[in-house]
Amino acid sequence: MEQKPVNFLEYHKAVKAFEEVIAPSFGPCGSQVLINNSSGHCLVSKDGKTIMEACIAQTPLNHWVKDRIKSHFKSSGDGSKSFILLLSELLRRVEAYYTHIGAAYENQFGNDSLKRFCQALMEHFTLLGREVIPSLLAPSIISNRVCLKMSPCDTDEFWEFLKQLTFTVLQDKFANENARLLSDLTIQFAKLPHPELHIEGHISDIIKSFRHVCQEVSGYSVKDSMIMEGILIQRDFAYQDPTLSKSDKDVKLLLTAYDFEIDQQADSLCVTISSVEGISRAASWNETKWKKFVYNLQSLNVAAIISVNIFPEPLMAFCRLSGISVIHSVFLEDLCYISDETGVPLNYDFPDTSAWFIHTVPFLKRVVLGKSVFCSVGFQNKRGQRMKHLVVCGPTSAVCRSYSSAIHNSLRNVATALEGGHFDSTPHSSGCLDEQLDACCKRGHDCGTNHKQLYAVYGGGVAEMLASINIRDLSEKYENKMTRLAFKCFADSLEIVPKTLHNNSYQVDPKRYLEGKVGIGQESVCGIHARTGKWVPAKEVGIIEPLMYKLTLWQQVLETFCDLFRIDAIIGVGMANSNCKEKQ
Amino acid sequence: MMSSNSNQPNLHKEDNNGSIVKISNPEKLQVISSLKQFLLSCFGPRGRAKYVQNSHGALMTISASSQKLFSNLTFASPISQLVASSILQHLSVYSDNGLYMGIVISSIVEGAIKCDLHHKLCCEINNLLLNACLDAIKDISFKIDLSNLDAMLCLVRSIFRSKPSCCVSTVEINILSSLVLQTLFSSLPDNLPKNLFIPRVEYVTMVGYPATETKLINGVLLDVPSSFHKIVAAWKKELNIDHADIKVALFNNSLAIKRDPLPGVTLEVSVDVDIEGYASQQMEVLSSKLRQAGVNFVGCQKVIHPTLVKTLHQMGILTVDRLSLLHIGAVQNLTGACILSSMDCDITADSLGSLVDVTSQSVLDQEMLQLTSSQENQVTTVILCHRTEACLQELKHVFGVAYHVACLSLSNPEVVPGGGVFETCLVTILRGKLTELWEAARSELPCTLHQFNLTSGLFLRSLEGVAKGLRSGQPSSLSGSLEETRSSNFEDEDVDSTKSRLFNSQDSHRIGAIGERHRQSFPGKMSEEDETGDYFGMREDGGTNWDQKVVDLLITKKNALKMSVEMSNMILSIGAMVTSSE
Repeated sequence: MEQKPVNFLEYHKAVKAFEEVIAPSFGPCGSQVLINNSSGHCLVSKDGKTIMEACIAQTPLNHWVKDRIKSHFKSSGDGSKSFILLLSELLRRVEAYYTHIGAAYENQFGNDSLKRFCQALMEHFTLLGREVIPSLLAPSIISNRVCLKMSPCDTDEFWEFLKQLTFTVLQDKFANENARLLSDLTIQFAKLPHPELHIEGHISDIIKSFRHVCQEVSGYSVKDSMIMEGILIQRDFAYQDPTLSKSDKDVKLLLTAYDFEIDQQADSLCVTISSVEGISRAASWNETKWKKFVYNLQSLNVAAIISVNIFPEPLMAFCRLSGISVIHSVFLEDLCYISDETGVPLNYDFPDTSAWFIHTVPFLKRVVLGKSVFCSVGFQNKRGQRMKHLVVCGPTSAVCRSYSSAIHNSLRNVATALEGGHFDSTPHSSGCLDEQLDACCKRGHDCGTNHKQLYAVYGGGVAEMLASINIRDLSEKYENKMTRLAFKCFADSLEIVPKTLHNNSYQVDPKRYLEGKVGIGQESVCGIHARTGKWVPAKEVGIIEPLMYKLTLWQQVLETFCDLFRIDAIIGVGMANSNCKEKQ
Repeated sequence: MMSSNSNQPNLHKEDNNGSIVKISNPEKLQVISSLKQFLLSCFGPRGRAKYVQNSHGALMTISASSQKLFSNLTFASPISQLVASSILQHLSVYSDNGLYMGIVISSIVEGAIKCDLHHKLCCEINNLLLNACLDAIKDISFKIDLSNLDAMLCLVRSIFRSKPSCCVSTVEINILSSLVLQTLFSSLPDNLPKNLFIPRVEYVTMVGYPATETKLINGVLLDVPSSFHKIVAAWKKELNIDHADIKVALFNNSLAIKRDPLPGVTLEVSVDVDIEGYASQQMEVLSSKLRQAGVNFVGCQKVIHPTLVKTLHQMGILTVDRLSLLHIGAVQNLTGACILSSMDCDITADSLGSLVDVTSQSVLDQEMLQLTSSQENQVTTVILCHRTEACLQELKHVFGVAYHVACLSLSNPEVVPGGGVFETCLVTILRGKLTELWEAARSELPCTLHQFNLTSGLFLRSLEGVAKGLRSGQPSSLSGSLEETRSSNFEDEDVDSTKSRLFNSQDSHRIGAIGERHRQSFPGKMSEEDETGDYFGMREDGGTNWDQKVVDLLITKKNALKMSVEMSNMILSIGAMVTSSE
């Protein structure tokens, strides 16, 4: 066992290693990262989580930071890059403040003084993260004009608001035009199939089932992306019947997870045969059973079978002879999803015909997209609505994957906004800047339902600048010098977001950036226009982000800082032995 | 660029931070320029083929086709891999314009890097220009009348002309183009269904013969041992084939070995049980079933036991085994039989297919078995000939591409002028619209007029570069290139005689039917008062001479252009590379 104390530089290095990769790809004008895995497959992505996962953590602290980012992403669905930037900047700011006032620590702790200084700040950061941000900072942001409020009700304005939220994530990853197109498609896909449905639950259902309802098709432009009626199953028909497209008729379907190849009952059975007829009987045993099965299907007018397992060739031949289409080798998860959505249970066994669960669908057809052949089944969900499929197109499979992953993240962004409506105690202000949104808010209150409020702030660093101003103001209320210092430290580090946006924009001009920053105040909050890099009024930034997501991010960063400095040393278990072996 | 002889920077090298490497613009430029040079050398009527060999020096392919080259090459640079992957994806859907796409991608990237603007700004301008291109295409494209054989021939001929690596002369191109159309028309059913899938075509390749010997045969050709033809003759004599409806049973399981009857169950057989006797008993049962069903011909994907073959021959049933996956589908399509998968299955009348004739056919000195069927179940086999193996393989590929494009034209009959005219016109139209575009987008584009002009100029030059690339290795003025591609170097040959020789009255009937349906699907498209202008004298008026034109299918060109801009933007925006351990 070998113990190795950690010094400040190592903490900073652990975070900085990721910052170097992440910072150039931050914001809409940031660059993409080409991820090349060991098998030679390429992926182009700007997604923080994807980039982080591809990065190799070289030190234990690297690992630790990576895990923290992962867990943050898991809870909020976005913000990995902001997380890294903020954490790294916070460390940098702490180091800068230390050079001014850390002399006392230097005398007392010598070389380890910077680490001790950080540890001393921990309790003040905890205060800021756990108490000040939710109870003081959040209400002050909400009461500001830059915070938009929306009541979740099924109106066009509300869906427009959600579209803007999805656009925020997508424009960060792709060109504006493509982002607009995909956000339109996403919201069109996510729109409530039923007006009385719970929006929050509906969006979270889509997120959960996203991989079942989103199909990536390469070989086309993203402009060819579309929503298709029915569920697409990417398995070719074992029996290709050109007359299968019975869109005008009801088609009976059997969904099965039964394995015909292996007879569960007969497994590990030993049969002794004493005559030639015996072999014949044994040989035809399965086939007799299969024939009966197909005969029963015919009597029930079943037109197709969708199966998890592959069908034995003789059974397939029986189906072919009976005109029953077989779609086999379908993923069990996909069928379970269909079964859950439609409310028709999946067939696992075949005791008798009466126990079979039969789906009746309005259509079942072959769909050819590129070189892939799909089976499109018009399943209806429990509420009687036709299920839909989102087809995301792109030039290569790697690009398609990044499109679909961004759409998924954008939906998570929406979900975060919907979950974030727990600031009900705050007084409603009529402060929606946008007239449309304001009108919707009023309508939401008028419609009599008890809607909770949904909060969003303008992007482009507007929230960070406002928070920075507020935290500085709040710091004045505390007498403790260290508390004030910790608050100011965090307030300063929040400015890294607009700064990085400026650095990645088309026109980088540090002088103009600093000049623009001077005029920013509570009543005149500005943000960085991601493309021009100029300070613009909040409303002109053009993107909105859920407030909840911002608050969680700041709390998580502060918590991570504290947890990071709780690690005092790294102990390598078994390292000494391995070293000995190497020497031997 | 390629794995064997790499002259590009290795972007895989790791720096001190681990596996994170920043990709600078000069590195990108070097990779992209090498790729462009490579693609240009294969592009157009003067493109040259590449000899691809593996690490041991063995020949993999000789080709100038992007599909064959990219599927055989491995690229050291991930950026080249991305480009190759996007080209292959495009080709998997549209078959054509792979090299075009690669050249456009590399030219746009090259231009954008050289202008040294922010990548995002370049992407925005590229997208703007792409939209303008897509608008301008409406003025350049025109619909061809599918019942006009000359127009269809022109479309197919353009594909052969742009692929010189298959080494065919102008006369051969005319014959092959006619054969492509003939294949299409003969594969189509008489009554066109609502949803038409591209009919499959069978190929038989013959090395050592001139390409002019290429021909079509109705039905399926099977390569059988020479001794088999005597058996066929004897069988036909016995069958009295004149008006016979040959009943066919098809199996895809082995008719020699009985598969494990009960998986997971151990069968213990007593010593006194005769297993071989059981096997012969099974065969007898099957042969009697086949006789009772009146089967005359048995086809099997796998092997048939010699004893069963002998028994069936004695019963007057002809057997052909080892059809393999290659032929079983074609034979099924031809006969309409339902494939059986077990020796024990019931052989009903519904499961049987039919053949009109089984003949020994002498195909270019090689004896083959020809299966023919009624008109409803039409399968076409193309006998492709060329003097060398490499050229034959290339010809097979090009024939497939031409056939696919001809099929695509049925649903999307819009074409654009080829031979660089399309790109030149696009550039001309866009040049005229640049000021208008700038005025419309200046409020949204955070750049100066100079920057806009610079970037759009480079984009347009990239498109021009494609037109110039058709004259690879020969610098020339654009107008010269344009003029030359319009009248091009196509000698006057007797196209009409080839056409009349190859197309029979039945094909004419089908062509007429397609044309009629085409008119119904696109009403008014061919009318005199069509809104688009006649840029190139290629509209459907009486005076069009299709023999001297080059056209490309719009749908393939449009997709290639859209994907090219999308991929270029993607490549431009790459700033770093991470080599993942996963």
